Amino acid sequence: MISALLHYNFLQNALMGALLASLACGIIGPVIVEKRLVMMSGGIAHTAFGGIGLGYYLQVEPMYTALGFSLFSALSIAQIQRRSSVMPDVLIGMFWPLGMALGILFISFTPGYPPSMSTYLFGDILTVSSSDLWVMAILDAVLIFITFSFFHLLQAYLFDEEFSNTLGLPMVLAEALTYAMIALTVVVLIRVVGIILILALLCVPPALARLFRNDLPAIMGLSVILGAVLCLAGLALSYRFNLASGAAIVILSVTVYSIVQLVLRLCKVY
Amino acid sequence: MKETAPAVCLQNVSAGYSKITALENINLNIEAGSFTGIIGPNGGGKTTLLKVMLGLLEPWTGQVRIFGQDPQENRRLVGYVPQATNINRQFPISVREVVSMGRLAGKSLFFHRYSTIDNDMINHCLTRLDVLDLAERQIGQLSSGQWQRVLIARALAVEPVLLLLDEPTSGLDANASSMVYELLQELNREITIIMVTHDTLAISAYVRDIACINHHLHYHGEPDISSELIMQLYGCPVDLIAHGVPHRVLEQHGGQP
Repeated sequence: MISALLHYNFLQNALMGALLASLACGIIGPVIVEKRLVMMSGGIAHTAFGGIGLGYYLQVEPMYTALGFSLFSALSIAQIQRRSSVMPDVLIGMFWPLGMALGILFISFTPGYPPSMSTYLFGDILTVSSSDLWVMAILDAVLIFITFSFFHLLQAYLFDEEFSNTLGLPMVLAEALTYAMIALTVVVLIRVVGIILILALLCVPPALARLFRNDLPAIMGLSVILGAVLCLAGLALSYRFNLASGAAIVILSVTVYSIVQLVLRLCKVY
Repeated sequence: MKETAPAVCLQNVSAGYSKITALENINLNIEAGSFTGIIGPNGGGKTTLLKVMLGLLEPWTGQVRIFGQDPQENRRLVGYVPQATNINRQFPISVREVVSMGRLAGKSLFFHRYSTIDNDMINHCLTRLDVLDLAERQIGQLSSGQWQRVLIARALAVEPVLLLLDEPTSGLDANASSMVYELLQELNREITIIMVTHDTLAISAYVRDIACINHHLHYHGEPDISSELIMQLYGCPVDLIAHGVPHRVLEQHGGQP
């Protein structure tokens, strides 16, 4: 595989894609897990499909329309949740399929043969282009910048919103930043694992990391490393055994998590 | 700040949530320097009253003044100690980081760092609440009593003139409870304290004033509550026993022992 890596441009792109993806999910994953926004993120991920459909319909690069669409829906969802009394679960249950439905509608409006959607639904890391990589790198930079520059605000928002409100801290801003970052992360991950499989990459690295560390920056750092290892190992498996890359990464991640939990439990018993 | 303004002044305050009225026409003046217990049945509006004082809930009618100011205008007057069980203690955060939160009020949070003054204050509060040696621990690794003290330390880090506590001893054993109360009594020399409580020990031994809330304000004054008032408030007799405290004996009910 090493020599193939040196020869084939698409493998180098895949490697870079995996690293950039693990950076995004390592930073946002712990935020999502600690704030119990896993299902919310799943919903935001699926609204991105509407954006991809829109991109095909308008003949624009789907990554860009997906970015606009998921940012818009993430911020709208945060607003609706803040202003109305709809239960979060019910809200998720509505906009999740709404995004998918819009995507299907847009694609059916698109003239000519319908494009294959599986690249976006299940991801295909081996077809990541260098322009995709640029988009991913810029989004990663934005994510790192926001997390670093607003760390104390985000920490206060994640940990204790009520107390933060009594201090007059800008919780609306913190919430908007968090939801926007989820939307950016979704776009970074779409080409690697696809819309449907995103949740696994958001959950597994932080869930593993918090078994070993209990401060947020360390969990973020460890999640990035674990995400990178899982993505690269999944990529290697997919290359070696000719498996779908997204599926290989997800199955490997969940398997590793289960084994680690099992081992830790055995260690506790004996 | 006006010297003469009462710590808390509520005038004709009504408040609630969408369709439910929790507080009706409350008039309440709490003097600076007092140690007031708010008692009342579950669902009687005690927490709503705290939220109104904290500026978390806008009252439907009436006016709220904290030391003569709008509670939303000056956030640094009030330190808040929420119910200890309301917070997720699995969260990956250390004791020091929790207490540090109290220093964030009124700061620019873009590339925020804690200053030397902040850190001195944080250490002072950690020491005062006797949790300095636990500063680097994750909050899930504390006992209930230690966790309660951390929450009080966080509220003190705000440098408040008024401390609002929501059931500060629920889930604590007698020892830990009296430790918290003694500490509050000591803090009361400098700051005004208002706490929601169900604990009759606190009412009888530590608190200097009580306010009984059940949608309306039923009573506000010294804690020698009559059994009729308790009947009116809770709808059933509640034990009012002075726990061997010589300086404050409650009215006896039901004849001589």
